[in-house]
Amino acid sequence: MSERMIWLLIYAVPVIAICGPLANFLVIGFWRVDGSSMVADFSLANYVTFFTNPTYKTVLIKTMYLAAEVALVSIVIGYSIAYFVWKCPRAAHYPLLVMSTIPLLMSYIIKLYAIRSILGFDGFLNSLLVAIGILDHPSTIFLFNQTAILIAMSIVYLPFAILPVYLTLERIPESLLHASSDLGASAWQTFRYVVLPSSLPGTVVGGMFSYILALGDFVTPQMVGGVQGFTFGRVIWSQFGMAFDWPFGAAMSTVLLFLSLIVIGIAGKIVKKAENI
Amino acid sequence: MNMAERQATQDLERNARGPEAPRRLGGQVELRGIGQRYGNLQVLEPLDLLIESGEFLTILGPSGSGKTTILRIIGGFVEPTQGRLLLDGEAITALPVTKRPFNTVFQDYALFPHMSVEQNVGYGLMVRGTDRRETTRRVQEVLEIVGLGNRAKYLPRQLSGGQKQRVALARAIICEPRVILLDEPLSALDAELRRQMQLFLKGLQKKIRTTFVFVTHDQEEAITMSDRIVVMNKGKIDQLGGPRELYYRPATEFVASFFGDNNLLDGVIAETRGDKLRLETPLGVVFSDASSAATAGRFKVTLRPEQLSLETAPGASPSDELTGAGRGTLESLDFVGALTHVQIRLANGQVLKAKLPTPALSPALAPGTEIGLKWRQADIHLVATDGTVN
Repeated sequence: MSERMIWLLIYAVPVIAICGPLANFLVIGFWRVDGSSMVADFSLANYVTFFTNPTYKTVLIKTMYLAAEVALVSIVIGYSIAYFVWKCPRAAHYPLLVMSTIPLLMSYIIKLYAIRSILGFDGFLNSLLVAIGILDHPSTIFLFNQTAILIAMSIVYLPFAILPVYLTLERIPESLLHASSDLGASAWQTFRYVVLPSSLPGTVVGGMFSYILALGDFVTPQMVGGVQGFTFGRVIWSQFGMAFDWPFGAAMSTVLLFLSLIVIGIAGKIVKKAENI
Repeated sequence: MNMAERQATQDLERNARGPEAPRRLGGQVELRGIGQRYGNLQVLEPLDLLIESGEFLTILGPSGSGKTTILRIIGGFVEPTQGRLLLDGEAITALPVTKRPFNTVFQDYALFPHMSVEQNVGYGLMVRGTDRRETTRRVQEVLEIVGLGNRAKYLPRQLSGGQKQRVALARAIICEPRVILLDEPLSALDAELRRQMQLFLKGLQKKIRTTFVFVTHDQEEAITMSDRIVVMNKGKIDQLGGPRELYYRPATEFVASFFGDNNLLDGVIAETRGDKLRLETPLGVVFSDASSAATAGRFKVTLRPEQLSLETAPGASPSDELTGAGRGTLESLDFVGALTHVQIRLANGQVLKAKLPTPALSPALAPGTEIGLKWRQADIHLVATDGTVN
């Protein structure tokens, strides 16, 4: 086998493995279901149904709103953690970063069970609030609703916000910070005028990660959201499961894919602009 | 460097000269027993240094000599482990960076990449809450001084190295600090631009009459610009003085060899006649004034390459108290233009350097020729040895 062939294989395998299923979905989105089998013909019926039925649109918009909240919460907390790590002595950076990203090594499901046991009726949060006297008796407001999804997703996606922010903070030359205080800027002014603008690219990327992951997530809403936690991810998932309408599920997945691409595009524009100036 | 840039640099040289402004008060910095230690490593021995108001003081030394540490201590980026720092007689050792009326020009310029030239220069005024119109006016004024009046809206990445340098300078002078600290600001520029910036900096300093503390490892830069030079070696001050003093009257072997080219010879005191010494060296008999270096016992005899002249006929007359005479073999001749660099091997094998005006050299001279050497005994200078030769 020639060297060229080997290179072709190295590139072709991942391209086929990623693009193949995506292309498959794009195609299936135009099929229809007859009884319990898919019929391969071309129609826009799935898309027409999606865009004319207000229920789907409402769920999508609510999910987009939820994902935006998740992105905001995880970027605010993630930025704070990244900033704290960056301000620590250099030798502590690596251990602290590893610690803050260890949840990534854990199974997603285990993390959700852990969060569930913290937020639940006789969970850690309720016990704590009752113990310190903030609540008289345990509350059910922390689990099986939209807030629970928001909290759980923000925690689960936190590492995706911490890492990009840390990486941009890390790239700020120390002399810029020295120059700022040398010119009389207070610690807050240095943060506001030098650190924050310089770390904007990482902040946008971190927010984008959380947003896109939250947008398509169907496991978290199912596990901590209860009946109230109906998100777009769950709608799609139910098309492949209970409803057994793969073409319609594929069409909605396609919509979600394009939505994500638009978000990535916007984020890329912001990052590029921030890095150019 | 292109034509436009050359023109711009020439313009700014003219700008910088201008009429001299009245001397601004203050800017005298005093270091009293300032020392710095990191763990077990004493990077700066306790030292005293008085930087006069309005002077251009250069701290010169090789890397690791402690010169940057001094600058960082004055700037407030590093807190000294011992000693006191005074500004115009008042203790400022514990004063934070933000409160010191000093501004720094950093080695890498440290321009804020996301801000325009205008915003960079105006930063110091902006954080002080200066009125916007006043800021704009002063930014424009300072940009004119550094010759970048038409670059206000540019971003740092759109500027050349020399222009960035001038923005950094403008940013440092706009707040009218009592002292400007410069941390090897010219090291990233090419030779031609560096020479022009040296003249510009010196001119600017004369014009605004602010104390400049300039750190460099380049002795030529130090000679060109400084009123006084501090030579640092291994965390200690080896010598403090004007450029001429350091060049012709170096105190130590380190200063003698670090500061320009020099010939260093071992010498043995043969005779003491009052305050005159007669010494025997591989070059021949030399006479020198009795100095503290000689009385301490460990010393070297120095003679600058340009103070040595050649005689085609060797050994015409012996050394006397006015003129020295010796002999050697011509090793090599390197034509460098107006001067020719000559290397001469002495009888003991040591090679001396001489720099002679090219027209004065006989064309008959060729490597291998036996030649005579002459020098003025008044040019002989003794320096203390500290065991290091650079």
